[in-house]
Amino acid sequence: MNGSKLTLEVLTRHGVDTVFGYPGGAIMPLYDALVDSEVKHYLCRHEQGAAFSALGYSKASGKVGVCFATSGPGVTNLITGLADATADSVPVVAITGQVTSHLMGTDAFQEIDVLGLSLAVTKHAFQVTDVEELESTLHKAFEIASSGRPGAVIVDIPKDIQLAQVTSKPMLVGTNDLGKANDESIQGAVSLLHQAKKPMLYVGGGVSLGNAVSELRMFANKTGMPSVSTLKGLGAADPNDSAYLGMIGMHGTKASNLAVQECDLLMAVGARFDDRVTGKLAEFAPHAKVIHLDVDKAEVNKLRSADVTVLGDFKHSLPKLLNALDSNLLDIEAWRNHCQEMSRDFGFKYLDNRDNSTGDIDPTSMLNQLSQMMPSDAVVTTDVGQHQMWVAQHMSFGEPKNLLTSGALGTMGFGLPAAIGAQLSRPNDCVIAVSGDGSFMMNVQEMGTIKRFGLPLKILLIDNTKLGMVRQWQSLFFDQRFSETDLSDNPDFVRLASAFDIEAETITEPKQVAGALEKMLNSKKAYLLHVRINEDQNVWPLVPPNTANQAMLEG
Amino acid sequence: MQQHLIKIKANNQPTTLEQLLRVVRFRGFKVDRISMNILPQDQALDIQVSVKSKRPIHLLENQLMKLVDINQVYVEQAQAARAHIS
Repeated sequence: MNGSKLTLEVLTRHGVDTVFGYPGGAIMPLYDALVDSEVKHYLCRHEQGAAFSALGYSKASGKVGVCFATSGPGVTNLITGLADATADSVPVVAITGQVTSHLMGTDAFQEIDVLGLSLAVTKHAFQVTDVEELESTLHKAFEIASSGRPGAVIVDIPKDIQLAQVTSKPMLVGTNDLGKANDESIQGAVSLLHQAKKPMLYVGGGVSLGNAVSELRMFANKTGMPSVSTLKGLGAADPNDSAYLGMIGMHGTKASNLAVQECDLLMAVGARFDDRVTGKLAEFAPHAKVIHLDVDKAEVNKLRSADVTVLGDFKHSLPKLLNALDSNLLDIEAWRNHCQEMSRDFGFKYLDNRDNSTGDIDPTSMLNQLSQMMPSDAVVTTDVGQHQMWVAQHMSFGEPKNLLTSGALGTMGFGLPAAIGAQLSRPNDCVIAVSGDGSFMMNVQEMGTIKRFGLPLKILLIDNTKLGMVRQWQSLFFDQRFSETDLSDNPDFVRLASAFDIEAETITEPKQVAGALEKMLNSKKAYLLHVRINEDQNVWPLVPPNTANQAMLEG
Repeated sequence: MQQHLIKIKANNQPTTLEQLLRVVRFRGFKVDRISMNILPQDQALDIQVSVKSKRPIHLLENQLMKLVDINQVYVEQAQAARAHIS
């Protein structure tokens, strides 16, 4: 067989049956091999769309996402998606065509230095220079992408290697051993937990990546510890736990931010003290000792020093911690009651859009209504901006795999192609892409992919004819000097959707909301609900930059 | 500003040195000196790099250990850059 056929065989051996991509000259042999392969290829309309679809597929399913692209511009177009995958620790393998070996380094047509380009944004990058190394390289790529802290891996294959004859040599596939926390660290953590009067769980995206949602919930339930979540951690903590306070940080809930500032012990699980979480780092959780659980040693003591570090697999360390505590559980009833009280007192208040016959549509109430109306196993993707924060604040998720968002890199244009990947990985689940008018236009061409494959995904497009989040900051911190944030020349979104055979409707009044959401959710085909909102609707609370989290602005 | 000598054992791959220098730069360290030997059979690299920064060296050490082709990182010494210059 040739290198292309071998590549697809290795993918199949790793359980890959779905790939996303876009063909071109240097990857034609691989696309030729696809014709006879069991691997199903989904043609996207831009390589960035293919990369984000692979991310969405991976995030919604837990499997490795795979995408293909050709050399030169094909690779450069993938790069943002690969950077996003690495930043959010999503296992993605990208296979790229490269110009023929003897032309490499000659500035050939569609040639680019893929390794130089990708090393900074991937977990690792390979270039295959000998067809005999192709098989082992592909296995290594899957192992690296999915082991430890996951990320993107690129495998660049020159065209002649794709065509060269090779014999497959079956190899053992490595296992993912995250390591186990040592007894000393567990004892150190137990000691701090017993001393604490006001302990708080700070839940990050690592909990879901480590498949430790049930272990985390068991720990929270047995200890009674209140909890807060990062954006990427949403869905990991039990949303029905009365001491779960919601998202923390710049747009976190008032209760979560105040409680963390007050706590005397912060137990970070798969979280990394990101600047959007901590606000002014020196004043973050100022009274708290820190227990930091992670699988990535480089995240520990990076921004906030930990008093106790627990390195290793959460599926092992959380039950072990709980066992060590079991005979003497925490005495924190007063603190738990205090947190519940704050949650009740400072909770979001929603307008009933049905009773609001005059004003504008309130997007926070609408999203909260959608959260209650949609099936419990629905997948929601977001783009980046105000709508993303409203989703995080006002929707509830029972599983982390049900909210797909670009957390660390914050990439506009993520939501629509990610929803395509999610819909293909979970064909029986309702998938809703919540977007803003700025973000939606960044990968709008992927409506062509929705049409081609007849995907029934829903698009909720919240349109304020502005780049809303930037405008909000201009309003608050730049003396209302609105620079390049006006999008009042947006296209007619209903007509645009219609051009892709996607049924669509625009609503402008609160009384239309319930019926329109119901119609969208009941649609058996793709559907776009275009919702016009007031441009001055902002995201609250907001912690200004370099400010302690208790000094949030509340609108 | 602290100066540190880092001794590294790494796989002999075309990207190893490039990755090492990229991470040193990105994490806020400057290279003062670097030397590299290819060990017998071309399988491994022995790299010594002297870096300086205001940032604690463990931040760089932990990031280097994450690189796929780096197998060992050993920080040999830490001294004030000023003392080293004098």
